[in-house]
Amino acid sequence: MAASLETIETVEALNDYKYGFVTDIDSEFAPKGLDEDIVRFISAKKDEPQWMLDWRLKAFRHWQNLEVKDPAWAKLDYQAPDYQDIYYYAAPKTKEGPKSLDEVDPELLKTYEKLGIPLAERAALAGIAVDAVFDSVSVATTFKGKLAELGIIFCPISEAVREHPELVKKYLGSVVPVSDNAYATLNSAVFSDGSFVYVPPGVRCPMELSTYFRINAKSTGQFERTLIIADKGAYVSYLEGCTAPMRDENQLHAAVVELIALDDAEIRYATVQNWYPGDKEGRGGIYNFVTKRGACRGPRSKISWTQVETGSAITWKYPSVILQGDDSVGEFYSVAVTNNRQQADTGTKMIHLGRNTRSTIVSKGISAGRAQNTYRGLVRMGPNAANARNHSQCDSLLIGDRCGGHTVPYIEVRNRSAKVEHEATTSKISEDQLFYCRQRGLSAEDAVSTIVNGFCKEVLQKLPMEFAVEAQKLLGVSLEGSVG
Amino acid sequence: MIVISNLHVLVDGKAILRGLDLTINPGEVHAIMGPNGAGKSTLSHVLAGRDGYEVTEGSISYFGKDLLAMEPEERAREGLFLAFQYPVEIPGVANATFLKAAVNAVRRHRGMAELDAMDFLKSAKAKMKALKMDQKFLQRAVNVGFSGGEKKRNEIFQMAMLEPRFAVLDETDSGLDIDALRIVSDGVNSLRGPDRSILMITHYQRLLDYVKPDIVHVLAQGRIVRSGGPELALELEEHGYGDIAQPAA
Amino acid sequence: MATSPSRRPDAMAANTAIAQAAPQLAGYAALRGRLPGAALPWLGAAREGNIERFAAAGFPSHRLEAWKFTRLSGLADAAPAEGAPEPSTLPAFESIPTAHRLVFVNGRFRGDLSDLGHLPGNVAVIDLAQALAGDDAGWLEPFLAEPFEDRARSLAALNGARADHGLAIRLGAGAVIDPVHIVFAADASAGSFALHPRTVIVAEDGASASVLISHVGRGDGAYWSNPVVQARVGQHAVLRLYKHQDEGAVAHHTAFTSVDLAGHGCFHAATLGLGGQLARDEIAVRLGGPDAECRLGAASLARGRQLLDATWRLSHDHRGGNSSQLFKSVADDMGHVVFQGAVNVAVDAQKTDAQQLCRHLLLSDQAAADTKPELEILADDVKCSHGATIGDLDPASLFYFQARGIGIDQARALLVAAHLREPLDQIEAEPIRNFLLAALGRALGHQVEDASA
Repeated sequence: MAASLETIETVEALNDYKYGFVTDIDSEFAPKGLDEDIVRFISAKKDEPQWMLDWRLKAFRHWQNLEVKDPAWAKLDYQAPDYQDIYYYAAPKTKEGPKSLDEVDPELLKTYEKLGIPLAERAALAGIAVDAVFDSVSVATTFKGKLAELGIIFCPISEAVREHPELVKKYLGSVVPVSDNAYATLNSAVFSDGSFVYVPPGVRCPMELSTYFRINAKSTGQFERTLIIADKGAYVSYLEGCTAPMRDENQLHAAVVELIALDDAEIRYATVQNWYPGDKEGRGGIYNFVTKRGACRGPRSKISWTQVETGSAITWKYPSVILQGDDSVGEFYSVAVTNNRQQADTGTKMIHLGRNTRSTIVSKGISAGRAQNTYRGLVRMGPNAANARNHSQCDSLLIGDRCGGHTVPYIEVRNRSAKVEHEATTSKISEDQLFYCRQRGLSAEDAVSTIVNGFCKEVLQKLPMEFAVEAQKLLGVSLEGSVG
Repeated sequence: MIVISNLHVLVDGKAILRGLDLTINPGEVHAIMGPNGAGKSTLSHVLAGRDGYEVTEGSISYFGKDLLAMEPEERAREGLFLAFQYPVEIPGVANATFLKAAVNAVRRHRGMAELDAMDFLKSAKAKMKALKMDQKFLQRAVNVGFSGGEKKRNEIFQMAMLEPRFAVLDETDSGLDIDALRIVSDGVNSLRGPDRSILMITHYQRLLDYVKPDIVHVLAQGRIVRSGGPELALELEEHGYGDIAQPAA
Repeated sequence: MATSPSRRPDAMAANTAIAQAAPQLAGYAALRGRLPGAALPWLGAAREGNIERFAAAGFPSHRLEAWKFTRLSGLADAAPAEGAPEPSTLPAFESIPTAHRLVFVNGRFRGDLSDLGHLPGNVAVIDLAQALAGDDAGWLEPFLAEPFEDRARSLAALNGARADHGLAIRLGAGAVIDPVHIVFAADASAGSFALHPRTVIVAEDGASASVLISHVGRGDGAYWSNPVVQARVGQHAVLRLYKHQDEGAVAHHTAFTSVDLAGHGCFHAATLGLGGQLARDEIAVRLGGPDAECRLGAASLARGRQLLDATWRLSHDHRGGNSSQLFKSVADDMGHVVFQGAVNVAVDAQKTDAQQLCRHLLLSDQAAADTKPELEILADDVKCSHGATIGDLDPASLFYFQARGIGIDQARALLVAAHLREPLDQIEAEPIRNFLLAALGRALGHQVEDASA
């Protein structure tokens, strides 16, 4: 895309000057590729303390030693990224964006209209300089003030590294270790930014940490890092992402999200992901390789993941819960839609370690066009998980005869009093239902959208109201053209 | 006016309708009776535009338009309503959501303003009351967990909301006990009017005791073999389809 | 799911694999000239090919997805490579009086113990060595010359090289035989040895057969039984293949069965898994023609330190296929049960109906169960489902028994028997059903009635 052409040219020019850039910390650019100097450069740009740099370097060295950088086990067929052909640090790209809505791709605008995105936000999403149309800074400020009164910390993780090092040191990498998987390792070495949330003991966060994000998430970049800690008895609900397709020039997204719930704490984390899926022929689109994991550290803690995944060319994502505390609860509610040439390999891991731990998995996969959609999940009942319970329901809906829907659950039980129940079904979208809807006057596309929304209802109703409404519309938009 | 001329239909390569002719004027209530396998349900599905029915000959003129050239939803928006013999369950979709989408699709097509949630609910509740339907049905998923009678009542309720010009009732009486039959019939009778045509497809005469047809037809082996007044239904009840169902030579 | 994607081909692991495979290669080299049909050029070449495949792959590692839950290292480190000696005593085994019977003891066909009785016309049931010695051994070539390319099936490749005994059953078009009982018995008091039996079954169009294969071992020797069964079921033919796995207490059993169904062909199988310290029973069925039907069932009872693994793969390659799978298990003591059931529906295999259910009972604190029911579906007009449950006996059911005056131990015993018998109750061939229910009863220490009698 044109927006960053100048950036690229500048950086390519810098490439010739191999060793000079590191000392020049005012530079907005780092050349392509990853080496130790790049890691130092990123850390320096963010004004990080030595311990943070050391942590990044440790991750980088582990990355260097990995011979296999992409997992072969997922049911995904793609060209592995050339990790030396990626910019790991570049200036924000908004400056080269379109100047007004007239310059924006009309297809994108049509989608925003269908989703009912307010006019002001449409411009921001399309990449027009944000502050001209939407005063995000002031919103953020009032927001932060209110939270600060309650002792809640909600800030960019780069700020937390400087302002709250004791918390970051204690929890960063404690749920997703640096060596967990190659994408997590890479993220640990080069993460750009992300959110940090700390809710002190007994505090219930009074608002969804959400609306503010639709705009601001845009600049967090490809290696997002999020860390959320709910201290004893605390509660927080966090909404990530954006219901509208965003202009994005990064192909590889390798985010890491870590959640920590101490005794009696509860964290709800909802994602609506609609990154660019590529065109109908599968050209372009985002590689979304995300590691999301929560630890129910304390007794009676609860972590709940809800995701609606409709975007990206490739999705590789398993939001998981480690149920350490006795009586802790893990939930995973997922809708994954793939159309055209999209591929998704997504699911969850529920690792039951404590007694009386409970988990619920509800996964709805919808595949259309030539897309491939895989649910992959693990339920493990450890030897001490007495009376633990899991119930999993995985349903796949197929629209058209060239798509695939797959279910790969792994169940491992080491405790006799634990109980696991898993059910899965795969079927075609019902001709009877389609005809019934059309006989009542609904168009074929509205009929598909109606039926799919019904199929996903159990998951959608886990989303906060305003998010759910947009997500419903999004399902319809994502499946456009799936019935002929 | 609906005019079906010389309609021939294949299902899986087999001739089911073989030269069916039928004309229904506005305001008329027709009944089509016939033995199992005569092609009754095929006729209702062809009228509504279901896939899998191949029209090889003939035509259907619907108020001057070519019905067979229209998509199912166009037919619905033009006022053709089919009350299904087996109403379809749609899990997760509330009756109210479904019906509001349908009502507004039809209203848009007719150039009418869409109903907002308040107006829709007001109208729906009034009509449910007339059909003695519990209002909580609005929040339940379409036909999911409904008894046979509830499903049929739900069909008539949808018909009342969509105000069709031409309603096709496919075996609407099947599976109904006597009380439910009376309620459904009252609902149908209340929808009779000079601008609305109704075609009842039924195996038994029983429904016709409650909804008096203007004209009764006998469908056998893919065509109308006899037509007459309501007395024809009684004759069938008495003598069965045996003789009458033989096509006139 | 692998938590770490790094899978470095480790030099040390490679050396181990070579060391583990070496005795098997030597064993083959010593035996090569004396194998049945050694003079047949196609067979010699096929054996060479398969031993090379085994040499390249070695014993399957748990890093292979198909072996994720079952570690063969105990076998691989000390797998016997020698053939079995003459038995010192005749191992006791049960048989079905009315069946056509073929008995092998320690890898040797025993005409004296076999009783083929009267075989119907156009049915051949024949010892493999004899079949290969005949003039028309050519029909066996597609089976015995099959190259086992998949690294996860390297043990089948070893059988492909090493198989020195077994049998062939051939049913001509429309032929019927019911039942056949094949007994592979091992007297393990003589020490450790390897058995590589090979069974080929062909049911031509419209034929029908019921076959029970028993693997029975007695004595304390750590022998290894590595059978391969290959079957081809013609159009409108029916093959019912049952298995009674009651190997010796410290034996290893690694079985591979592959079945190919033609259009409207029908395959029913049920397995009772009781024996061995480690038993792996892999079944691969291809519904290779339209409207084929496959029904798989198994009951596994793992006690002591037993590991019983059932790995099934059903490939629906054509439209209209119908399959059902029912797996039941009980793990007690330190027993470990593994079930992997994959259903694959190919593009264009429309109107497929595939159902699968697996239920594991864990009866002790050290018992373990792993399961992986898998659906891979590339056609849309299908009805596929699977269900899996793992847990202890249902307390409500136990209480119901107690409320009727039945003691807790007896209640448990009855519920366990009821749980395990369901796949066996589906067996159509009555003598085989009764035989397996009786075997289950003996294993559980009490009688299991034939409910359908």
